[in-house]
Amino acid sequence: MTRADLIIIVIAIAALPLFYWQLWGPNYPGTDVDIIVAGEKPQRHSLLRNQTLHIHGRLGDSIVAIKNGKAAFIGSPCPNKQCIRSGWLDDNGETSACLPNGIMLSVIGDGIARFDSINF
Amino acid sequence: MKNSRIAIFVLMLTALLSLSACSNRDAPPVYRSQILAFGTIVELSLFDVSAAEGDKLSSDIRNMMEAFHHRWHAWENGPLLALNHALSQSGHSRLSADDAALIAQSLTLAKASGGLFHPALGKLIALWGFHSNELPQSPPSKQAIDATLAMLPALDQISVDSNSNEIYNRSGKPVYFDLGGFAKGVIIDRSIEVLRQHGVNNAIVNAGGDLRAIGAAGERPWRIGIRHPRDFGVFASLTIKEDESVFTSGDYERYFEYEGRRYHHIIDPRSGAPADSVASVTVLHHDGATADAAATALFIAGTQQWQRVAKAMGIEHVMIIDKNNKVLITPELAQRMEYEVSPPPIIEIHALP
Repeated sequence: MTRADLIIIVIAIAALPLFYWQLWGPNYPGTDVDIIVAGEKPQRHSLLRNQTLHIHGRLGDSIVAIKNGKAAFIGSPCPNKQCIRSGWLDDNGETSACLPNGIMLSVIGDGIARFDSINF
Repeated sequence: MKNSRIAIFVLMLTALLSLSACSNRDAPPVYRSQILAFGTIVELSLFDVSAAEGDKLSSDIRNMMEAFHHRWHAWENGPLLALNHALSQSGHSRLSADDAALIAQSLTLAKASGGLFHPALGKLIALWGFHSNELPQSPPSKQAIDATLAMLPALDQISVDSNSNEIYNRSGKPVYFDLGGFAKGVIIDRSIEVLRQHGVNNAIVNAGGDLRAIGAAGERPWRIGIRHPRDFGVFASLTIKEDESVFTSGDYERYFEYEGRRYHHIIDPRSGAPADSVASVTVLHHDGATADAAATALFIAGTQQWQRVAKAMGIEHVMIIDKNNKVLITPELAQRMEYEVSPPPIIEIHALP
């Protein structure tokens, strides 16, 4: 074994934590967003395709934007606009809802979510 | 030499693939669905359940939750308003066995909490403007609060006869049941019952952030994150042992701001105003209904009285986050809690009396 071989082995061992971090680390980007209207089947859209969608709910149309791998409510007929204030979603498992209009966004991903459920 | 380089390459590849394999093994076959029911987002996580079976269970649970929501809705015209009217007018009503048991359970929890969890606070909550899908603009006047408090019925004057399923109001005052601090726990418990009846023994039912988890995600326990009360992200986390509910009451859930001050929806039945000494209270307990009522009662009890009330309600696992992000926690929960914030919070461990 030469010195170069030894360097390769050292690099390989040193790189293991990086692989580990990539696979097990805290951030799990989503790939798609499910748009769920109360009582209907979810519609799935890729987060990789920028688009603006008008989704019809109980009160009227909520406007959902998908941009640069993120999704958000950007327009809503609801009184408080809490759905818009909750901002952009991009991690696997993140959700946002307009309860008055009965519409929800839920980000879906391939990776492992760190937690099975979030309490708040 | 060439062979040794190939061997090293194969070794690296194997190491990488074995990590990937671990990651696949760790991702359990969990059916997940999110439904809008009970006025909130309900998430079901069911271990080792087919999509068809999961869809059917989601639909059953949504229907059950919607029926329950209608039955106990605190301000829409429906059965609860009719019950309140009857109790206020004639002081008496007859209930179904199921409804009688539920009201009796709420009264028992209220008594254990020393009245801090108060299931007949509807008039006061309405006065604050929280009986609406829209948030209020300003707080009520002190005179209006005092007048409403004066008409609040004493809970020991309301009773349920478990044999005849009759409910009596002997307070001489109107009764406005509002089961908001308890109903979510009940419906989560009932959802778990439905899942068990269908042979699902490894599941989480999360309704608007409060949850009950049973069993495990295969070989590992369910992992629960507890959201930061003042920031984005997770504040702390724990794993579930067999069958536990995790409920949090916080001042960030429903609130409005008026003249720079925050007014939230958890009303102290003693003062008639929102309880104001902590940011959040997290309770871990076997059943959801008790955890729900306890989280409300301990939030109202605040930093001075929470230990006494927790003891009286039989709650051992409590975490309070005060307004400066300091953690007050019981020893039973302290040994299971992992903190996810950096730097870690200041923690005070308080054994119950």
